[in-house]
Amino acid sequence: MHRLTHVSTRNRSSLAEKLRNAVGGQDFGKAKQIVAGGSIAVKDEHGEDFRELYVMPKRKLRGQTQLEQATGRTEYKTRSRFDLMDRLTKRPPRSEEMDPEAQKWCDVWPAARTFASSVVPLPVRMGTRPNVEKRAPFKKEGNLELVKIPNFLHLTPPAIQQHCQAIKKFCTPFPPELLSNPSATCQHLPISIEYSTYIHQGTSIRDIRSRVVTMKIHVAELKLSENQMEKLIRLAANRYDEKTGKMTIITDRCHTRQQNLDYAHYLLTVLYHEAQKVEKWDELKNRTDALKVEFDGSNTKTKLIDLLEKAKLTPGLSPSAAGCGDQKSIDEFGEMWKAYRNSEETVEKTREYGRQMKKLLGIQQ
Amino acid sequence: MAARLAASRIVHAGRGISQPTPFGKRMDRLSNRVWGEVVMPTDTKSLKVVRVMSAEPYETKEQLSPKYYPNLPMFHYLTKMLRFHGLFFDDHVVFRDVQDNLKIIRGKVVRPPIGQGKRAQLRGKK
Repeated sequence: MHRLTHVSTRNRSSLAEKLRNAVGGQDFGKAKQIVAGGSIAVKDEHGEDFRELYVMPKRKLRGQTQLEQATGRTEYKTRSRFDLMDRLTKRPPRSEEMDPEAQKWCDVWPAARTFASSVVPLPVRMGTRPNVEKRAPFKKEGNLELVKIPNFLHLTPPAIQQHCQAIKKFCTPFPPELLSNPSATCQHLPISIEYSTYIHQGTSIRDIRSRVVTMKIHVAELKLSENQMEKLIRLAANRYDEKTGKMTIITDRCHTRQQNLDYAHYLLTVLYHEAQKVEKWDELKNRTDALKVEFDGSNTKTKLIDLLEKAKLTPGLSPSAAGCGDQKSIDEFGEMWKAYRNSEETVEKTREYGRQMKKLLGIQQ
Repeated sequence: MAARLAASRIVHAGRGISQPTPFGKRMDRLSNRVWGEVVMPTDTKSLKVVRVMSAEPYETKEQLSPKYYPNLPMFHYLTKMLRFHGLFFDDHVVFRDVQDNLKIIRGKVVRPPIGQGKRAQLRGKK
């Protein structure tokens, strides 16, 4: 009732008619102009206009309307909605008025704030539906899920670059000798420390994952002897990488990052000093305790020497021509055998094994 | 016989560390002591102590804290206050206001005081 009263009042005003003409287009007010143009400007003896003779009303009669409908010549008037004024006063969403070329996103979204669907010009969706293949998740307009989560729309690459430029005056340049010679980094900076910083939202701004500290050490820079190095490798176990020569210490037992860092340094100190100690039970070490399988003292060497002794008595073979029984040949075979046993087995290594065996026995191809 | 003795099946990675030789056994225990792990081989039931003591304490798990789920004001109060400040608009509330005004114009009593309503009048007649 309240709205209808308001609508009827506005519908009778001339402003509403002007707006209706503006919205309806050019053809809407044509009839009135024709009627106005058709009148004859004639004055009577008193100087007044002749009153128009009433013969037919100024609207179309029902018969005429029915004829137009039957023959398909009806012209439907387009009327504007009753809430035209309300919709004219409302501004469209800001994202629709944006010009990506002219504006800078850092000015639109300068700092962290809650998601605003009218500002973000992205067709993002969030939420769940029973059948996502039939209907997509909810749009950004009126989506409370998007309002709940933290967004990082203020951390675009240009914004980060601006921040870096702003804090550049507080930094010192990187050492040029390390830039020119990357391998020198291992000598000057043998220890590297890695940790992560997280953005957290909850009752506390601290994330429990930030406590993890990873320390990597170039073991060669510790200047240990051969036996000490071997013991360090044993103590480190799987934390030592033979290919890169680095030992990795990951600590996450303490509650803060600083405590974990101190603990990592403590572990490094303990390992360094333990590697230099000599225990009484080091004498218990035998051949099977070596990190690598050694050729000296192995069954293969014993059998090989026995085989060579028998080969000298065999008339079919010619061991003297190939230097059979020579210590240098046996050492060369030992080197190949050691590499074969201590690395991954491949076809080429197996063929090399066979080739060395034939060479040692003097078997000709 | 040949498959069992193939070179690829002979364990040589970490040799002496995993095998229970006297030297390897002592070295393993020393390593576990240095790194703060369980020194002697322990059964699964006893390892529960390690699992419990290494877990995150309950007081730092924020999902278990009452502050993680704050108490929201009552809905009725929220709608009234937000409408007073002009931040909340409800068509139904506006419609009911219009209807109340129409009733007043027609001479009806909207929300009479307690004891003076239609039901109270009928009960008084009895």
